[in-house]
Amino acid sequence: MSWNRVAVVGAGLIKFGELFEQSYEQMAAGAFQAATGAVDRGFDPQDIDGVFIATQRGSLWGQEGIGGNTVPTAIGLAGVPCTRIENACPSGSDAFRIGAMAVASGVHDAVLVIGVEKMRDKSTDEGLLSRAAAGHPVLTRGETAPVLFAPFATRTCTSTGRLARCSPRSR
Amino acid sequence: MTSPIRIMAVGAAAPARRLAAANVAGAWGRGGGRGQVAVCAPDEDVLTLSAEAAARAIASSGLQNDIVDGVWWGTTRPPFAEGPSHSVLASALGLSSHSGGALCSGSPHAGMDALLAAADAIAAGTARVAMVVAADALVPGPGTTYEERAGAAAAAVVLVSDGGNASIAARITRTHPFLDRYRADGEFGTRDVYDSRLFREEVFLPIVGEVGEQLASLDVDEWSLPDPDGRLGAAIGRKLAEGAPASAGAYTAVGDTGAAAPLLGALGALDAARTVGVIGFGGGRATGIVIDAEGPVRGAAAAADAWAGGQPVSYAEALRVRGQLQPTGETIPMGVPPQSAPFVRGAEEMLGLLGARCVDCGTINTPPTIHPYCISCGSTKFELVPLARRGVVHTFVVNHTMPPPFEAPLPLAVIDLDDGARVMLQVVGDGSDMQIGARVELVLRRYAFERGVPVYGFKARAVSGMRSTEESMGAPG
Repeated sequence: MSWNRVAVVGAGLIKFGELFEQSYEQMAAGAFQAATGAVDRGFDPQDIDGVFIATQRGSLWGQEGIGGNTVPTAIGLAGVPCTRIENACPSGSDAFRIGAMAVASGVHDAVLVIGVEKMRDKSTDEGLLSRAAAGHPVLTRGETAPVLFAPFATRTCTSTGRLARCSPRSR
Repeated sequence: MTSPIRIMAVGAAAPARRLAAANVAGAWGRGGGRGQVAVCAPDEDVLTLSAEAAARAIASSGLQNDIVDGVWWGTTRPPFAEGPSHSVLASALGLSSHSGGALCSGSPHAGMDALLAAADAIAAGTARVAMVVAADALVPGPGTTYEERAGAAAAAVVLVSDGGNASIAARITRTHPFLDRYRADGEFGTRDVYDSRLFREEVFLPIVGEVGEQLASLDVDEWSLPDPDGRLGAAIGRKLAEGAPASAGAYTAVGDTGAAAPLLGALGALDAARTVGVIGFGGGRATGIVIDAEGPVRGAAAAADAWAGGQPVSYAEALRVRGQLQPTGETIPMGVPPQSAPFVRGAEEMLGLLGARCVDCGTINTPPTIHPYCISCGSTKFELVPLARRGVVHTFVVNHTMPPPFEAPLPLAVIDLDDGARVMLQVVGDGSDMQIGARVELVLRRYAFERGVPVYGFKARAVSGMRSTEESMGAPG
């Protein structure tokens, strides 16, 4: 048995920003329209038979448990199976990987992969930075996203000098 | 026949922050205000001070913490009004899960209550090694003159039935049911005495004086005397001794430390062969003891280091840390509440600082509950071991933007402990003393005050010579 070849036939994105005026679904719809519009010689969205949607923290817009299932209905694909991939910062690339596997396996013919993150429906304190209070009550307390990565830079600056433009503060 | 009550070692701890009495007086439109008091940092409280003093006493004693039979803890106000105050402290000290002891509270006399109860256990033979911790982080009512005097500190004494250079030679208690400093259920700050002249003339001087005179018959060389207002200590001292009492230095440095004060004031005097009279007062009782030191008591010479120095802090900051100045609005809740399963599951590993040592390759995995397989060799056979409480900074980061209830700057560090375990913890202070390779020690701190409940864990602190706690705490080999 061999895998089917997989092609990306269209891609699109919306302008990034705080986007207070747009909902999660509207953002997804905007990217979907841009992607379908970019397909050479046109494309019937009804050919899509699977959706993989990447969102790292649904809780940032108050929708933690429902997955991505509000999106297919919002973009005219009601009834199409949808899976949400939640895998930290690589959620988007992971969704792409899984979408490609779905087509390669022959289970799906055409799938839609969307990465969407609604990060400013809550204040930064209560949203992004609230991660500091999540997780282990002591051992990860205070861990914001920079805390996950900045210590590597601190270490690299000191041991190798490889990061040429380190902040003096992190030395 | 009872056992002798011997003192093996002592230890002390005090916060680094100092509040000037003049700042308090000025805020209330009063003139004057003499001296300073020690006040807690946001991650300190009476329990963390107690843990630090006790750790120092254990380290000075040369004893292993797992042979301590119990903690006798005296504090006016335990961190949980009702709750696991005592067991949290015992766990953080790495004591046996079968250790005993008692929590005495309700007035500044609690420190003497704890000492006497521990002494009784030694005398009766039900304990051979008893840890006594007397501590307070007082919360005076705003606007009282007591506010200019109320400090924070802890003093610890390791009592044994055999060994050490000192013994408890005598004791006496005198009671008088009088309402002095007082707090009712539902009140947050403690009220000052109603009438300071009445208190001085009819209560304090007669009662403390009577106890002191009885002790004085035992040829006391030095005194630790209560000084609740900055004048009464000298007044009672003039009746009993020539010159200032030995306790004056601690009072000057950190103020009236309530339940801690009698022992704290005595520790420094135990650095040589001396007879020291110690009087504690509060809640309508005065208790005096005589400590007979035949030579220097372990830890006594270093005790004063615990309250030396200090950094100034504003009155508003002190109020905020005590919970008397509250922010508006909600703060970010902890992901799991302090009453929930992760705390039950992880209680020992969090407070006892336990790691899972791989039986096959020796790697220490932390914390045990999230490492069913060894990170080095994949084995599933572990033994729980106490982690080393010292190490070096592998790397670190300082958060400069944090939402309430967090405070920025908030440093975190990845630490390679001396036993090879690697942990990531918050760092005490603003991170300015962090650098890769820096020596750190792990100290108990209050990580959060969550849904009304204090949550404790260990933080890393740069080792700065004499303020450090020795590594023998919980670190076999």
